Amino acid sequence: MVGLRIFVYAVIALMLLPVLITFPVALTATSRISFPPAGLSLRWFASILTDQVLLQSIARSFWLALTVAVLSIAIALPCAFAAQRGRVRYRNVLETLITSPRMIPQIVLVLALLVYFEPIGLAQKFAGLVIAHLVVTIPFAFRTLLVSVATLDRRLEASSNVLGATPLQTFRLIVLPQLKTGMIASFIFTFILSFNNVTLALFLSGIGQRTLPVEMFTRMNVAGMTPVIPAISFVLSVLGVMLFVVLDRTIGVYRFLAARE
Amino acid sequence: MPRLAPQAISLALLVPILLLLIFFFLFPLAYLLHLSALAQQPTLQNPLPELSFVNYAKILQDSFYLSMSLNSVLVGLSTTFLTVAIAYPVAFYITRISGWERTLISVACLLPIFVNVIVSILGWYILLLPFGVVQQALAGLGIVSGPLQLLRTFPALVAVLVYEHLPFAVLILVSSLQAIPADKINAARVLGAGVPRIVFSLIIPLTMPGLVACVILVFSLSASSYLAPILIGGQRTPVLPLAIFSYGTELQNWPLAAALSFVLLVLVVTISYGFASAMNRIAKRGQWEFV
Amino acid sequence: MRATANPVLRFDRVSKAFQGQIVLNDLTLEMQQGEFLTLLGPSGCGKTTSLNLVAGLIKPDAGTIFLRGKAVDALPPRRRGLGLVFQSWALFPHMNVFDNIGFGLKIRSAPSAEIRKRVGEMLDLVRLPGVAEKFPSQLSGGMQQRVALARALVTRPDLLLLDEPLSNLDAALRKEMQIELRRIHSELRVSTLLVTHSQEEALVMSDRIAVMRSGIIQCIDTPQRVYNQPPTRFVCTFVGEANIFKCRVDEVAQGEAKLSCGTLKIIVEAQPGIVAGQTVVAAIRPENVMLALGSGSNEAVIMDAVFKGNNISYSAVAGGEILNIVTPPPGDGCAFAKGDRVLLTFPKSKVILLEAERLDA
Repeated sequence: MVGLRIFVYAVIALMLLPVLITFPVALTATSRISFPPAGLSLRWFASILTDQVLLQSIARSFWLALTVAVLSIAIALPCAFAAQRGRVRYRNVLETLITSPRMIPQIVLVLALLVYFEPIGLAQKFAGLVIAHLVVTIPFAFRTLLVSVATLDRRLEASSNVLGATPLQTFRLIVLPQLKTGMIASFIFTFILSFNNVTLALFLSGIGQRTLPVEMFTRMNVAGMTPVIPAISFVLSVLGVMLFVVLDRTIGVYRFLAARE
Repeated sequence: MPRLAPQAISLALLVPILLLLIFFFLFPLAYLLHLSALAQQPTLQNPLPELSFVNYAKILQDSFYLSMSLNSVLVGLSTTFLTVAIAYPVAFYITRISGWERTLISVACLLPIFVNVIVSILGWYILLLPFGVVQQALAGLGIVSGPLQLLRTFPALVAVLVYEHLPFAVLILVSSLQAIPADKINAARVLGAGVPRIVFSLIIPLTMPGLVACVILVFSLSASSYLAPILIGGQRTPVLPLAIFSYGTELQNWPLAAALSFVLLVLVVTISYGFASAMNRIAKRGQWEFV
Repeated sequence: MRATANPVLRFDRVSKAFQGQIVLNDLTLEMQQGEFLTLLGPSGCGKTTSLNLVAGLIKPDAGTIFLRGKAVDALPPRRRGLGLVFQSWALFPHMNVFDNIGFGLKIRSAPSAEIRKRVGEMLDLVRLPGVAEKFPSQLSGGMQQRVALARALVTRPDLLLLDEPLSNLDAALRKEMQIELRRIHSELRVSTLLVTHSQEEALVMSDRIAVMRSGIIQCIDTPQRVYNQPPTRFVCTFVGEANIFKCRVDEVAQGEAKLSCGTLKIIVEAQPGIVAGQTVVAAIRPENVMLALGSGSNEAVIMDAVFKGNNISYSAVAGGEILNIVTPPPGDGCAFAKGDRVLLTFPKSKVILLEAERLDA
């Protein structure tokens, strides 16, 4: 096992290296991307807070992800119930249909939406972007929630029923609390999926309406990049690590992401 | 209160999702397919150009597009092979440990999906700059001197894609490996099998479905990947998604872009399913050997 | 027994099938107010289905169920005024004991003072003071059981349904809970319908037992009569043990019938319709067979003797028939050993004449 251990730790080092390298590069005092950095200064980290365009893109990403996450659950949860409980005859077909958006390359999907949105006036509108995100996040939310719904203890509902609760009361007081963990996990992962998505936003967001990843991409690819980009990258990485650790210690990352296929 | 038939309620609950998928998934794809069979870009003056397969003909005959398709396939295959080769041992190790070590290793492996892709690419970009970290390390060891053109090469592109897709592979393989009941491995050990034999005769066959799923996923994601090719690969390793993007946005030739995307789709799907059914056949044939 | 006024529950020719399999077949049954009735039978006999039908969780294919004289077909479970305890207790894991028990009252918008009072009463009734703040996961099986019971009873239901509530408990706890349930029933006088496969539970707790097999009630009577005068072979062997003999009627005279089975001679009280030459099925319980050293007409050889603490269990062979006999333990050791020749006596009053089984073809 020693050989394996060395191999694994070498892989870990390689995985962390690109992330860690952004930190010293962002600490530079000049405005050039170089390693080792010329001079040390925190100015680029500070400039995150004054870069209006960047801040707006962060806000946009946040609201987009929040909207998408809430809507995904709102749409996928009843669907999971219908698939699991309803006597729907073509359940397999339904499940395949719902997860099919994830089976085609995202670039094909986004091109299709781009050409489709133009004639119907949704191109470069926030609503269009939300819809595009929903198409790729709902399959995932559906899968996760389906597992939660499938593991509900129906005897709790029967007991509630006999004790006098209406179906709505049973749902509100007994079923929803049972689904809490699944819904939170689904929400968080859908939020992450939407926040980090580049391809959809790249094609579909309006000119002045860039999300954070798109803003970062544009600066890298076209507009010229200052060390504020490595700075924000590093901050995002740190947040990502913290989020991961919290999730792993509470919900168990493998359990829920494995439903992601 | 009139009681609705359960079937009616179920159908009602499904309406939003069905509407969404029909109007914003199936219709757009159908429209894209239609576009790919047009001779020209629809414009306000000419909203309904004639049907023609000229775009497909162009793609299949022009060596430029053919080499692009080949590149896409090569990129996909190389990435998949390396990713699985690295992810499998790592996933195996992960299933053998627990606690903080497991969290640490998992963080490192899964980080690329917790932060956006640009962050990952940026890191590699910095490392691979002509006077970046890699060049400095190699220069320090005396292997090279002067600037190193690592960006815009095939190996660099594959490296970044492997980095991007390792998390997916690790996730699938960890859950596949965890599903192996420990008593099967213990039985093999009691019977005297050594580690290599256990791995090849027992563990790999039992995780075959996970492996196949992994290969299909990584291949389709990396062959159709867009960002790494454009930021790292550049024009030296042109792949289909780059052309799709150009024709779709800057050059405004939607029919050609549509045709290219269906070519990509067909390539990815046929290779994926071809692989899956080949694996199925092998697995069935050799099944009794692994018992 | 109880007053024969309106039965609290009535099954009127109820049938139910699942996926082509008939589970209940024309079931007719009446249950009186305040009685403790047990549906007893092996798995698959339809007892749980019957319970679910009463609760309204499933609907009958044919026939009607009446609660307090009213047909309840159109009534959803929540309006039937019932209490239900599942085998798994089904306590709401995200609520503490107080909220679990008070759930039924909260749904009925009872004022919180009343909820507090009644929940307190219930906790006293089931002898669980001081656990109101705890959560189900913090309670032992026995305690969860009592909470489930309290939850079902707090709304003062007309009928309490118990679906094998003691199956998940260990043996000692089960015995304790049997007595508890009996006590609670006599304190509250709530009509109780219990479903179980355990004959011991049925015998200990019930006012009446309905023995079911394949969707049909074979008999419904007090525990004593079910045990001592089982009408069919199934009931005889399901509730308690029995030695079964297929006999020929040799003679009927002076109110007695003389039967012979192999070399055994059995005398039983003649029932109307019994004539010489018939074949009948007779049974006698192991504890009612008397053993003595000696020889005579009902001779047997002891094959095995097992000391079981509070009794000795013998197996003996007589003319091709194997019998099980149980006796209280003598001073010390076994009275008889393997190979002993013994004389069997079958007291006339303890021999049971069984009807042919009442099974549909």
